[in-house]
Amino acid sequence: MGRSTDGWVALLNEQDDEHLARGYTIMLNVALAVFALFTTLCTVTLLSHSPASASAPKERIALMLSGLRCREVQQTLETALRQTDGVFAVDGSSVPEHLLIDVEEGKTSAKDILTVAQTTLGIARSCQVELMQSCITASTHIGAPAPAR
Amino acid sequence: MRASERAFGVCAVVTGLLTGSLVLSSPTWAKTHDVAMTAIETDVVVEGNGEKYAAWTFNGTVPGPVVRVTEGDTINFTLTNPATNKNPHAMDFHAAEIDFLKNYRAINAGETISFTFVAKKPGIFFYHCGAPPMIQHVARGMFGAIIVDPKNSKAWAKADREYVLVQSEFFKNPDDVQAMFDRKYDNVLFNGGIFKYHPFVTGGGKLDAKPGERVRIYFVNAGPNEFSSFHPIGEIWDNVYESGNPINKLTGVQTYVVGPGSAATFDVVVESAGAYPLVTHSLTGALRGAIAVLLVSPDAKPAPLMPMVPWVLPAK
Repeated sequence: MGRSTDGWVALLNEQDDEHLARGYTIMLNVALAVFALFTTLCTVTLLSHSPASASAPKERIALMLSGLRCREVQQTLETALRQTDGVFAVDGSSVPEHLLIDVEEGKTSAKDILTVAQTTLGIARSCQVELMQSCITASTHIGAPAPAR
Repeated sequence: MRASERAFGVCAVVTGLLTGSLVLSSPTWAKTHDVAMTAIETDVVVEGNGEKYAAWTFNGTVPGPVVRVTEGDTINFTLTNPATNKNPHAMDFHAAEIDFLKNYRAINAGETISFTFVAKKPGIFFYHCGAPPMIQHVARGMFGAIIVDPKNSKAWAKADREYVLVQSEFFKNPDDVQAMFDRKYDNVLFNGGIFKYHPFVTGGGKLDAKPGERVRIYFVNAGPNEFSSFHPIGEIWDNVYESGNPINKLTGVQTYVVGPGSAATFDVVVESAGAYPLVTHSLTGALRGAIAVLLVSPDAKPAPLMPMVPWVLPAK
Protein backbone atom coordinates (compact mmCIF):
# COMPACT_ATOMS: atom_id res chain seq x y z
CA MET A 1 0.00 0.00 0.00
CA GLY A 2 1.28 3.51 0.82
CA ARG A 3 4.87 4.30 1.40
CA SER A 4 6.10 5.99 4.55
CA THR A 5 7.97 9.28 4.36
CA ASP A 6 11.10 7.41 4.99
CA GLY A 7 10.23 5.23 2.06
CA TRP A 8 9.99 8.26 -0.31
CA VAL A 9 13.31 9.50 1.00
CA ALA A 10 14.77 6.17 0.39
CA LEU A 11 13.37 6.17 -3.14
CA LEU A 12 14.74 9.63 -3.88
CA ASN A 13 18.08 8.63 -2.59
CA GLU A 14 18.09 5.89 -5.17
CA GLN A 15 17.85 8.39 -8.09
CA ASP A 16 20.95 9.69 -9.74
CA ASP A 17 21.55 13.48 -9.68
CA GLU A 18 20.46 14.07 -13.29
CA HIS A 19 17.14 12.34 -12.79
CA LEU A 20 16.52 14.34 -9.63
CA ALA A 21 17.15 17.68 -11.35
CA ARG A 22 14.75 16.81 -14.19
CA GLY A 23 12.06 15.91 -11.66
CA TYR A 24 12.40 19.21 -9.85
CA THR A 25 12.21 21.14 -13.14
CA ILE A 26 8.99 19.37 -14.16
CA MET A 27 7.43 20.03 -10.76
CA LEU A 28 8.41 23.69 -10.89
CA ASN A 29 6.95 24.11 -14.38
CA VAL A 30 3.69 22.45 -13.36
CA ALA A 31 3.46 24.72 -10.30
CA LEU A 32 4.08 27.83 -12.42
CA ALA A 33 1.49 26.76 -14.98
CA VAL A 34 -1.12 26.19 -12.25
CA PHE A 35 -0.32 29.58 -10.71
CA ALA A 36 -0.61 31.36 -14.08
CA LEU A 37 -3.91 29.65 -14.84
CA PHE A 38 -5.26 30.59 -11.41
CA THR A 39 -4.18 34.24 -11.81
CA THR A 40 -5.76 34.49 -15.26
CA LEU A 41 -9.03 33.00 -14.04
CA CYS A 42 -9.13 35.41 -11.09
CA THR A 43 -8.46 38.42 -13.32
CA VAL A 44 -11.16 37.45 -15.81
CA THR A 45 -13.62 36.83 -12.99
CA LEU A 46 -12.85 40.16 -11.35
CA LEU A 47 -13.17 42.10 -14.61
CA SER A 48 -16.47 40.49 -15.47
CA HIS A 49 -17.94 41.63 -12.17
CA SER A 50 -16.33 45.06 -11.90
CA PRO A 51 -18.03 48.31 -12.88
CA ALA A 52 -17.26 49.85 -16.26
CA SER A 53 -13.54 50.13 -16.92
CA ALA A 54 -12.38 53.72 -16.52
CA SER A 55 -10.12 53.66 -19.56
CA ALA A 56 -12.65 52.12 -21.97
CA PRO A 57 -14.28 54.34 -24.61
CA LYS A 58 -17.52 55.86 -23.44
CA GLU A 59 -20.79 56.30 -25.20
CA ARG A 60 -23.58 58.62 -24.06
CA ILE A 61 -27.15 57.41 -24.23
CA ALA A 62 -29.93 59.96 -23.81
CA LEU A 63 -33.36 59.00 -22.49
CA MET A 64 -36.30 61.34 -22.80
CA LEU A 65 -38.86 61.34 -19.98
CA SER A 66 -42.44 62.49 -20.42
CA GLY A 67 -45.38 62.31 -18.05
CA LEU A 68 -46.80 63.87 -14.93
CA ARG A 69 -45.01 61.60 -12.46
CA CYS A 70 -41.53 61.73 -13.95
CA ARG A 71 -40.15 64.03 -11.28
CA GLU A 72 -41.33 61.65 -8.57
CA VAL A 73 -39.71 58.58 -10.11
CA GLN A 74 -36.58 60.15 -11.57
CA GLN A 75 -34.42 59.47 -8.51
CA THR A 76 -35.41 55.80 -8.48
CA LEU A 77 -34.69 55.57 -12.17
CA GLU A 78 -31.26 57.18 -11.80
CA THR A 79 -30.33 54.80 -8.98
CA ALA A 80 -31.35 51.74 -10.98
CA LEU A 81 -29.37 52.88 -13.99
CA ARG A 82 -26.27 53.66 -11.91
CA GLN A 83 -26.31 50.09 -10.62
CA THR A 84 -26.46 48.66 -14.14
CA ASP A 85 -23.38 46.84 -15.39
CA GLY A 86 -21.40 48.99 -17.84
CA VAL A 87 -22.78 52.34 -16.67
CA PHE A 88 -20.23 55.01 -15.68
CA ALA A 89 -22.48 57.91 -14.78
CA VAL A 90 -26.05 59.16 -14.89
CA ASP A 91 -26.77 62.88 -15.26
CA GLY A 92 -30.35 63.92 -14.57
CA SER A 93 -29.79 67.64 -14.17
CA SER A 94 -28.09 69.04 -17.28
CA VAL A 95 -31.01 68.69 -19.68
CA PRO A 96 -34.57 69.03 -18.33
CA GLU A 97 -36.74 65.90 -18.79
CA HIS A 98 -33.76 63.87 -19.98
CA LEU A 99 -31.29 61.43 -18.48
CA LEU A 100 -27.78 61.36 -19.88
CA ILE A 101 -26.19 57.97 -19.29
CA ASP A 102 -22.48 57.37 -19.94
CA VAL A 103 -21.77 53.72 -20.63
CA GLU A 104 -18.79 51.63 -21.62
CA GLU A 105 -18.90 51.22 -25.35
CA GLY A 106 -19.75 47.64 -26.35
CA LYS A 107 -20.60 46.52 -22.82
CA THR A 108 -24.20 47.62 -22.87
CA SER A 109 -26.49 49.08 -25.49
CA ALA A 110 -29.11 51.78 -25.75
CA LYS A 111 -31.73 49.05 -26.00
CA ASP A 112 -30.47 47.46 -22.76
CA ILE A 113 -30.58 50.81 -20.97
CA LEU A 114 -34.12 51.45 -22.20
CA THR A 115 -35.17 48.02 -20.97
CA VAL A 116 -33.72 48.70 -17.51
CA ALA A 117 -35.57 52.03 -17.37
CA GLN A 118 -38.87 50.55 -18.49
CA THR A 119 -38.57 47.62 -16.10
CA THR A 120 -37.84 50.00 -13.22
CA LEU A 121 -40.89 52.10 -14.01
CA GLY A 122 -43.14 49.03 -14.15
CA ILE A 123 -46.09 48.18 -16.36
CA ALA A 124 -48.50 50.96 -15.39
CA ARG A 125 -46.19 53.78 -16.32
CA SER A 126 -47.31 57.32 -15.68
CA CYS A 127 -43.84 58.39 -16.79
CA GLN A 128 -42.95 57.40 -20.32
CA VAL A 129 -39.33 56.82 -21.24
CA GLU A 130 -37.86 56.57 -24.72
CA LEU A 131 -34.53 56.88 -26.47
CA MET A 132 -33.67 60.39 -27.57
CA GLN A 133 -33.35 60.41 -31.36
CA SER A 134 -33.36 63.58 -33.42
CA CYS A 135 -31.85 65.37 -36.36
CA ILE A 136 -28.83 66.20 -34.23
CA THR A 137 -28.11 62.59 -33.32
CA ALA A 138 -24.57 62.14 -34.48
CA SER A 139 -21.52 59.96 -34.62
CA THR A 140 -18.84 60.70 -32.06
CA HIS A 141 -15.65 59.20 -33.35
CA ILE A 142 -12.80 61.21 -34.75
CA GLY A 143 -12.79 60.84 -38.47
CA ALA A 144 -15.96 58.78 -38.53
CA PRO A 145 -18.21 59.42 -41.49
CA ALA A 146 -21.46 61.21 -40.88
CA PRO A 147 -24.20 58.75 -39.94
CA ALA A 148 -26.75 57.89 -42.61
CA ARG A 149 -30.10 58.73 -41.06
CA MET B 1 -13.08 146.74 -36.25
CA ARG B 2 -15.83 146.82 -33.74
CA ALA B 3 -15.53 145.11 -30.36
CA SER B 4 -18.14 142.54 -31.27
CA GLU B 5 -16.24 141.62 -34.43
CA ARG B 6 -13.00 141.25 -32.45
CA ALA B 7 -14.74 139.02 -29.94
CA PHE B 8 -16.14 136.87 -32.76
CA GLY B 9 -12.66 136.52 -34.26
CA VAL B 10 -11.14 135.42 -30.94
CA CYS B 11 -13.95 132.88 -30.45
CA ALA B 12 -13.41 131.49 -33.93
CA VAL B 13 -9.67 131.05 -33.34
CA VAL B 14 -10.19 129.38 -29.95
CA THR B 15 -12.89 127.08 -31.37
CA GLY B 16 -10.64 126.18 -34.28
CA LEU B 17 -7.72 125.34 -31.99
CA LEU B 18 -9.92 123.21 -29.74
CA THR B 19 -11.45 121.36 -32.67
CA GLY B 20 -8.03 120.78 -34.18
CA SER B 21 -6.63 119.42 -30.96
CA LEU B 22 -9.57 117.04 -30.60
CA VAL B 23 -9.14 115.72 -34.12
CA LEU B 24 -5.38 115.30 -33.85
CA SER B 25 -5.15 113.75 -30.41
CA SER B 26 -6.53 110.39 -29.25
CA PRO B 27 -10.18 110.50 -28.26
CA THR B 28 -10.69 110.74 -24.53
CA TRP B 29 -12.61 107.46 -24.37
CA ALA B 30 -9.90 105.45 -26.10
CA LYS B 31 -7.70 103.11 -24.11
CA THR B 32 -4.41 101.39 -24.76
CA HIS B 33 -4.15 97.63 -24.25
CA ASP B 34 -0.96 95.61 -23.96
CA VAL B 35 -1.80 92.18 -25.37
CA ALA B 36 0.84 89.45 -25.16
CA MET B 37 0.49 85.97 -26.60
CA THR B 38 2.78 82.97 -26.73
CA ALA B 39 2.84 80.38 -29.50
CA ILE B 40 2.59 77.02 -27.76
CA GLU B 41 2.90 73.68 -29.54
CA THR B 42 1.02 71.31 -27.27
CA ASP B 43 -1.55 68.51 -27.09
CA VAL B 44 -5.18 69.54 -26.54
CA VAL B 45 -8.35 67.53 -25.92
CA VAL B 46 -10.55 67.55 -29.02
CA GLU B 47 -13.37 65.14 -28.17
CA GLY B 48 -15.41 63.91 -25.24
CA ASN B 49 -13.53 60.68 -24.67
CA GLY B 50 -10.40 62.70 -23.98
CA GLU B 51 -8.57 62.04 -27.25
CA LYS B 52 -5.76 64.54 -27.72
CA TYR B 53 -4.37 66.25 -30.79
CA ALA B 54 -0.92 67.72 -31.46
CA ALA B 55 -2.07 71.32 -31.80
CA TRP B 56 -0.27 74.57 -32.43
CA THR B 57 -1.89 77.25 -30.32
CA PHE B 58 -1.90 80.78 -29.02
CA ASN B 59 -1.49 80.54 -25.23
CA GLY B 60 -2.13 76.79 -25.14
CA THR B 61 -5.81 76.67 -26.10
CA VAL B 62 -7.87 76.25 -29.27
CA PRO B 63 -9.18 78.83 -29.98
CA GLY B 64 -6.71 81.28 -28.47
CA PRO B 65 -7.85 83.87 -25.92
CA VAL B 66 -10.60 86.32 -26.82
CA VAL B 67 -9.23 89.86 -27.16
CA ARG B 68 -11.83 92.50 -26.34
CA VAL B 69 -11.39 96.23 -26.86
CA THR B 70 -13.53 99.23 -27.78
CA GLU B 71 -13.61 100.99 -31.13
CA GLY B 72 -10.76 103.52 -31.20
CA ASP B 73 -8.60 101.68 -28.68
CA THR B 74 -4.91 101.06 -29.31
CA ILE B 75 -3.47 97.57 -29.05
CA ASN B 76 0.22 97.03 -28.36
CA PHE B 77 0.65 93.40 -29.35
CA THR B 78 3.58 91.09 -28.65
CA LEU B 79 3.99 87.52 -29.88
CA THR B 80 6.61 85.25 -28.35
CA ASN B 81 7.76 82.07 -30.07
CA PRO B 82 9.62 80.17 -27.33
CA ALA B 83 12.88 78.43 -28.11
CA THR B 84 11.23 75.13 -27.16
CA ASN B 85 8.98 75.30 -30.25
CA LYS B 86 9.93 73.63 -33.51
CA ASN B 87 8.20 75.91 -36.01
CA PRO B 88 8.03 79.58 -37.04
CA HIS B 89 4.81 81.37 -36.07
CA ALA B 90 3.13 84.73 -36.74
CA MET B 91 0.03 86.77 -35.98
CA ASP B 92 -2.48 88.36 -38.36
CA PHE B 93 -5.25 90.43 -36.77
CA HIS B 94 -8.19 91.05 -39.11
CA ALA B 95 -9.19 93.96 -36.84
CA ALA B 96 -6.00 95.83 -37.75
CA GLU B 97 -5.24 98.02 -40.74
CA ILE B 98 -1.44 97.91 -40.91
CA ASP B 99 1.36 96.78 -43.22
CA PHE B 100 1.40 93.00 -43.31
CA LEU B 101 4.98 92.57 -44.55
CA LYS B 102 6.43 94.25 -41.53
CA ASN B 103 3.97 93.22 -38.85
CA TYR B 104 2.64 89.80 -39.82
CA ARG B 105 5.98 88.21 -40.69
CA ALA B 106 6.82 84.81 -39.23
CA ILE B 107 9.31 84.64 -36.39
CA ASN B 108 11.49 81.66 -35.58
CA ALA B 109 11.57 79.79 -32.29
CA GLY B 110 13.30 81.92 -29.70
CA GLU B 111 12.17 85.23 -31.24
CA THR B 112 9.60 87.90 -30.34
CA ILE B 113 7.71 90.39 -32.47
CA SER B 114 5.67 93.46 -31.48
CA PHE B 115 3.37 95.81 -33.37
CA THR B 116 0.73 98.39 -32.63
CA PHE B 117 -2.64 99.08 -34.21
CA VAL B 118 -5.79 101.06 -33.57
CA ALA B 119 -9.06 99.11 -33.71
CA LYS B 120 -10.83 101.63 -35.91
CA LYS B 121 -13.88 99.61 -36.90
CA PRO B 122 -16.28 97.88 -34.51
CA GLY B 123 -17.10 94.22 -34.98
CA ILE B 124 -16.03 90.64 -34.50
CA PHE B 125 -12.79 89.76 -36.24
CA PHE B 126 -10.67 86.70 -36.88
CA TYR B 127 -7.05 86.43 -35.85
CA HIS B 128 -4.69 83.67 -36.95
CA CYS B 129 -1.13 82.59 -37.52
CA GLY B 130 0.15 83.42 -40.98
CA ALA B 131 3.40 81.44 -41.00
CA PRO B 132 3.80 79.11 -43.98
CA PRO B 133 2.13 76.83 -44.69
CA MET B 134 -0.66 78.97 -43.32
CA ILE B 135 -3.26 76.32 -44.12
CA GLN B 136 -1.56 73.98 -41.63
CA HIS B 137 -1.04 76.60 -38.94
CA VAL B 138 -4.74 77.43 -39.02
CA ALA B 139 -5.83 73.80 -39.27
CA ARG B 140 -3.73 72.89 -36.23
CA GLY B 141 -5.41 75.54 -34.09
CA MET B 142 -3.63 78.89 -34.31
CA PHE B 143 -6.66 81.16 -34.42
CA GLY B 144 -9.07 83.13 -32.28
CA ALA B 145 -11.43 86.08 -32.06
CA ILE B 146 -11.10 89.77 -31.29
CA ILE B 147 -14.22 91.72 -30.36
CA VAL B 148 -14.16 95.45 -31.01
CA ASP B 149 -17.16 96.86 -29.15
CA PRO B 150 -18.79 99.93 -30.73
CA LYS B 151 -17.86 103.13 -28.88
CA ASN B 152 -21.55 103.98 -28.88
CA SER B 153 -23.04 101.20 -26.77
CA LYS B 154 -26.51 102.23 -27.95
CA ALA B 155 -25.65 101.38 -31.54
CA TRP B 156 -27.45 98.09 -30.98
CA ALA B 157 -29.70 96.38 -28.46
CA LYS B 158 -27.98 95.39 -25.24
CA ALA B 159 -27.23 91.68 -25.04
CA ASP B 160 -28.20 89.74 -21.92
CA ARG B 161 -25.74 86.95 -22.60
CA GLU B 162 -22.78 86.60 -24.94
CA TYR B 163 -20.83 83.70 -26.41
CA VAL B 164 -17.96 83.39 -28.86
CA LEU B 165 -18.08 80.45 -31.26
CA VAL B 166 -15.23 79.70 -33.63
CA GLN B 167 -15.80 77.09 -36.33
CA SER B 168 -12.90 75.20 -37.87
CA GLU B 169 -12.10 72.02 -39.75
CA PHE B 170 -10.23 69.18 -38.08
CA PHE B 171 -7.73 66.98 -39.88
CA LYS B 172 -6.87 63.98 -37.74
CA ASN B 173 -3.35 63.74 -39.20
CA PRO B 174 -1.85 67.11 -38.25
CA ASP B 175 1.08 66.60 -40.63
CA ASP B 176 -0.97 65.77 -43.75
CA VAL B 177 -0.83 69.17 -45.42
CA GLN B 178 -1.98 67.66 -48.71
CA ALA B 179 -5.27 66.56 -47.06
CA MET B 180 -5.73 70.18 -45.98
CA PHE B 181 -5.26 71.43 -49.52
CA ASP B 182 -7.61 68.70 -50.77
CA ARG B 183 -10.28 69.69 -48.21
CA LYS B 184 -10.30 66.14 -46.82
CA TYR B 185 -11.25 67.13 -43.30
CA ASP B 186 -12.43 64.57 -40.77
CA ASN B 187 -14.56 66.71 -38.45
CA VAL B 188 -15.83 70.23 -37.99
CA LEU B 189 -15.32 71.87 -34.62
CA PHE B 190 -16.88 74.61 -32.55
CA ASN B 191 -14.33 76.14 -30.18
CA GLY B 192 -11.82 73.39 -30.86
CA GLY B 193 -13.98 70.38 -29.95
CA ILE B 194 -16.04 67.72 -31.70
CA PHE B 195 -19.60 68.14 -30.38
CA LYS B 196 -18.18 70.16 -27.48
CA TYR B 197 -21.57 71.72 -26.71
CA HIS B 198 -23.72 68.69 -27.51
CA PRO B 199 -25.09 67.25 -24.24
CA PHE B 200 -26.26 64.03 -25.92
CA VAL B 201 -22.68 63.13 -26.86
CA THR B 202 -20.07 61.75 -24.45
CA GLY B 203 -18.28 64.57 -22.63
CA GLY B 204 -20.42 67.21 -24.33
CA GLY B 205 -21.68 70.31 -22.54
CA LYS B 206 -24.09 73.06 -23.59
CA LEU B 207 -24.57 76.78 -23.92
CA ASP B 208 -26.99 78.14 -21.34
CA ALA B 209 -29.59 80.91 -21.58
CA LYS B 210 -32.82 81.99 -19.92
CA PRO B 211 -36.13 82.46 -21.72
CA GLY B 212 -36.45 86.00 -23.07
CA GLU B 213 -32.74 86.78 -22.94
CA ARG B 214 -31.09 88.36 -25.96
CA VAL B 215 -28.25 85.94 -26.63
CA ARG B 216 -25.45 87.37 -28.75
CA ILE B 217 -23.17 84.93 -30.58
CA TYR B 218 -19.91 86.33 -31.87
CA PHE B 219 -19.23 83.84 -34.66
CA VAL B 220 -15.92 83.37 -36.46
CA ASN B 221 -15.19 80.90 -39.23
CA ALA B 222 -11.50 79.97 -38.99
CA GLY B 223 -11.73 77.50 -41.88
CA PRO B 224 -9.18 76.94 -43.28
CA ASN B 225 -11.43 76.11 -46.26
CA GLU B 226 -15.12 75.48 -45.65
CA PHE B 227 -18.02 77.91 -45.50
CA SER B 228 -20.43 77.89 -42.58
CA SER B 229 -24.18 78.20 -42.99
CA PHE B 230 -25.02 79.19 -39.43
CA HIS B 231 -28.56 78.36 -38.36
CA PRO B 232 -30.45 78.11 -35.02
CA ILE B 233 -32.66 74.99 -35.09
CA GLY B 234 -36.08 75.91 -33.71
CA GLU B 235 -35.41 79.64 -33.96
CA ILE B 236 -34.74 82.52 -36.35
CA TRP B 237 -31.89 84.97 -35.90
CA ASP B 238 -33.47 88.21 -34.71
CA ASN B 239 -30.52 90.11 -36.13
CA VAL B 240 -27.32 89.33 -37.95
CA TYR B 241 -24.52 91.87 -38.15
CA GLU B 242 -22.01 91.27 -40.95
CA SER B 243 -18.50 91.37 -39.47
CA GLY B 244 -20.23 92.26 -36.20
CA ASN B 245 -20.61 95.92 -37.13
CA PRO B 246 -23.92 97.33 -35.77
CA ILE B 247 -24.38 99.28 -39.01
CA ASN B 248 -24.46 96.04 -41.06
CA LYS B 249 -27.80 94.91 -39.65
CA LEU B 250 -30.06 92.22 -41.06
CA THR B 251 -33.38 91.21 -39.48
CA GLY B 252 -35.25 87.88 -39.33
CA VAL B 253 -32.59 85.65 -40.85
CA GLN B 254 -32.86 81.81 -40.94
CA THR B 255 -29.29 81.02 -41.99
CA TYR B 256 -26.36 83.24 -42.73
CA VAL B 257 -23.22 82.22 -44.59
CA VAL B 258 -19.89 83.02 -43.03
CA GLY B 259 -16.90 82.25 -45.20
CA PRO B 260 -13.49 81.11 -44.01
CA GLY B 261 -11.63 84.02 -42.51
CA SER B 262 -14.83 85.95 -41.90
CA ALA B 263 -17.12 86.60 -38.96
CA ALA B 264 -20.56 87.87 -38.00
CA THR B 265 -22.56 88.59 -34.88
CA PHE B 266 -25.87 86.80 -34.35
CA ASP B 267 -28.64 87.80 -31.93
CA VAL B 268 -31.39 85.40 -30.92
CA VAL B 269 -34.15 85.87 -28.36
CA VAL B 270 -35.61 82.54 -27.29
CA GLU B 271 -39.03 82.83 -25.68
CA SER B 272 -39.63 79.27 -24.49
CA ALA B 273 -37.54 76.87 -22.45
CA GLY B 274 -36.02 74.02 -24.44
CA ALA B 275 -33.11 73.03 -26.63
CA TYR B 276 -32.10 75.08 -29.67
CA PRO B 277 -29.12 73.59 -31.52
CA LEU B 278 -26.89 76.08 -33.32
CA VAL B 279 -25.40 74.38 -36.36
CA THR B 280 -23.74 74.87 -39.65
CA HIS B 281 -26.50 73.74 -42.00
CA SER B 282 -23.84 72.26 -44.20
CA LEU B 283 -24.84 68.93 -42.71
CA THR B 284 -21.64 67.03 -43.34
CA GLY B 285 -20.06 69.56 -40.99
CA ALA B 286 -22.87 69.59 -38.42
CA LEU B 287 -23.07 65.82 -38.11
CA ARG B 288 -19.31 65.57 -37.78
CA GLY B 289 -19.04 67.95 -34.87
CA ALA B 290 -20.41 71.46 -35.50
CA ILE B 291 -23.48 71.38 -33.26
CA ALA B 292 -23.79 73.62 -30.20
CA VAL B 293 -26.97 73.18 -28.18
CA LEU B 294 -28.34 76.38 -26.66
CA LEU B 295 -30.24 75.06 -23.66
CA VAL B 296 -32.83 77.56 -22.50
CA SER B 297 -34.00 77.22 -18.92
CA PRO B 298 -35.12 79.57 -16.14
CA ASP B 299 -32.30 78.08 -14.04
CA ALA B 300 -29.52 79.04 -16.48
CA LYS B 301 -26.38 80.23 -14.75
CA PRO B 302 -23.94 82.89 -15.93
CA ALA B 303 -21.30 81.57 -18.32
CA PRO B 304 -17.98 82.77 -19.76
CA LEU B 305 -17.63 83.95 -23.36
CA MET B 306 -16.06 80.65 -24.41
CA PRO B 307 -17.17 77.89 -22.05
CA MET B 308 -15.12 74.69 -21.89
CA VAL B 309 -11.96 76.21 -23.39
CA PRO B 310 -9.78 74.37 -22.57
CA TRP B 311 -11.89 71.20 -22.61
CA VAL B 312 -11.31 69.64 -19.20
CA LEU B 313 -12.95 66.25 -18.76
CA PRO B 314 -13.62 64.47 -15.45
CA ALA B 315 -10.60 62.51 -14.24
CA LYS B 316 -10.59 58.86 -15.33
